[in-house]
Amino acid sequence: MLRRSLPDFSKYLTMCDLYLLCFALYIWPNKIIPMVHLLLVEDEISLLQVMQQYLENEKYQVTAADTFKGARKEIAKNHFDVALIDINLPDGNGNSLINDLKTQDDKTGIIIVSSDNLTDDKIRSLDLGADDYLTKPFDLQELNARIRSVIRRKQPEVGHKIEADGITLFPNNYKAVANDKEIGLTKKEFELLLYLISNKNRLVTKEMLVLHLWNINIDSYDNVDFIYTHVKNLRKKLIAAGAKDHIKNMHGIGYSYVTE
Amino acid sequence: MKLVLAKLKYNLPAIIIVVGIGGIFLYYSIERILQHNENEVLKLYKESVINMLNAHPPDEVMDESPFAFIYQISKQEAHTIRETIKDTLIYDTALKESFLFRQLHFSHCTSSQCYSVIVRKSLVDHNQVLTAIFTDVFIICLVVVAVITLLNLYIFKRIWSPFHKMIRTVSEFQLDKDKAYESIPSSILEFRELDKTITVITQKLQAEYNELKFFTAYLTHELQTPLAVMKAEIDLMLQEEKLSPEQIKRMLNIRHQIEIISRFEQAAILLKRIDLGKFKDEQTLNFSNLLLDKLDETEELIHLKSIQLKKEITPGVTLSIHPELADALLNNILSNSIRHNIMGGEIQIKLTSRYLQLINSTEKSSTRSNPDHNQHENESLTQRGLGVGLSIIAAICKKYKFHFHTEKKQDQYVSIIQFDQSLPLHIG
Repeated sequence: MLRRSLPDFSKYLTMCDLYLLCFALYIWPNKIIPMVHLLLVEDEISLLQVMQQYLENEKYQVTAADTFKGARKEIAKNHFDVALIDINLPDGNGNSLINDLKTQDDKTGIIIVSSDNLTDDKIRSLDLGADDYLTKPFDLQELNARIRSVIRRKQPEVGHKIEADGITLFPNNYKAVANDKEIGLTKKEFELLLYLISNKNRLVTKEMLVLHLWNINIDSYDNVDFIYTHVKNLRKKLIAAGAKDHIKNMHGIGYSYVTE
Repeated sequence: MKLVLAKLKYNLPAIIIVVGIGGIFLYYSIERILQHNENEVLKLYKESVINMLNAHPPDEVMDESPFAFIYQISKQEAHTIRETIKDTLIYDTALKESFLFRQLHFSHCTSSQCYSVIVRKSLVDHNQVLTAIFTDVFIICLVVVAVITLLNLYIFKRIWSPFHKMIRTVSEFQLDKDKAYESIPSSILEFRELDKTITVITQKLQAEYNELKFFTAYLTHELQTPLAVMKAEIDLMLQEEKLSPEQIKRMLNIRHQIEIISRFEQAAILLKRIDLGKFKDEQTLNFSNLLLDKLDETEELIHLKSIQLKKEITPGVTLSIHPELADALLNNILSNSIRHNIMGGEIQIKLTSRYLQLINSTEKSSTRSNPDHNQHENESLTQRGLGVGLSIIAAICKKYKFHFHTEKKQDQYVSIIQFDQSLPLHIG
């Protein structure tokens, strides 16, 4: 009786199978970016939690550790694409973890985070094999952009191009293409677009953009209208190339690359 | 000047003077004694002659020459002769040479006859004695000088060697090497006390330095980490969709204040690290290229304020300086020039092998066309920034013995860093 009352799903099952097959063969590889597994090592719990939340919002798979020993255990257990390591850990120096990561996988990108801005410390970490160095306090958007930059460098097969809503970016040679046509962007415009796309659907303030693009700290009372000029030029070029302009001005405070 | 030479500089003249004065004193003392003796001898001769004259009749006067010459004289003549002692030169015809004699001339009358008597004594011995004394004193002086010099140069050197070792060890002592001062043993009490004092002082200095170094690193970490937490939390909150523009502005303001605190803390730590002698490694850097690179980086900000940039940069100017401090120096001096400039203003940069000069137009407080209720806060922020930036520049210049000078001229602000302090300062 139960069997007779059940509807015939066979045709739906067949269509589902077909759909899944198409998705698997054609659509899925081009649309879904593999999840980046990130190791986050930070002894300050509140900062660790905030960073973890932010990075998970950015679709990273985050493994967090708040001690040197804990980080070592995680490195021994898992493979990571990127590691964010605080240099000043209570039970060890973060620089010592670089060697562990390099031994496990040379392709793991390593970003050292420190409260010190000393060039000597930066050089030491970079000499040991770190790929980047960030000083606290940093912008989360800057952190995100640095992570993506490190991934592109360490995994060129993943990062050689970035596709976002009809625009393809080639970071290695600062080229942007839309509708199979190259968009003639200056280096700064390219970096601006890349930064916005790296932080898509997030508010990026003008100060963050200036700091990222020119490494200049400015007071908010300084006039930053020059960034407005760069954004305006970029948007004009995108529209002229037939790409959709996703860059939105957010309350005159900053910009966002809106795709949702 | 070395200690030994300084000592000899005073010792030797003192010895020479003392020995010289002593010698002179000795010379005159002995001369007086000799003179007195000679006078006594003459008096003895006189007594002898008088006794002889009294004992013998005038016809039997003996010839007492050469030390006595006796002449018969009248009573009237005898009264005119006074007893005198004087030195006289007598020519010896046989030796064909004059000799110095001391003579006593007196008159004596017996019952029947008066005589004029001259008794003499040769002074050759007298002079020989004095010459011998003078020579001996001179030789003694020379010997003393030579012995003192040898003692100072060789023997005392060994006694002073712990002191010299202490000087060497103290001069090699460096706080940042974390190597304790090595005590120098010595049998001399004063040197042991000095060594003990130096040990105590260096230990105290090292402890204070380590404490300060630890505190600096601790402060950096303990301040920057909470600031990082606050900034990150605000960044997360800014992504909330339900925030109003006013709320976003307020949060951005808080975020901005966090950045200011962070930058001030970093500047303060940099100043402290310069004081602690952290930036020891110097490199010969092409300062002209560094300046040009820095101008490239700040090009946007300069154009933003429509600032006219005039540059006169001598190529190939090199400085021996830590790269991080060179960067901080240029960062601060340029950002001050840009930040405190007016819209449409001017910056003149001149770099030579002797100095770096920046002249920029400044804000005129009376020409603000858009008064803002935040104006006062703006000025306090910029003044704070100016102060910290100038402090960093001044600290770096002090470290490398550059002369840093600023001057306000009507509507211009002049900053000069002179690399060679020995040359007169030029503003132009």
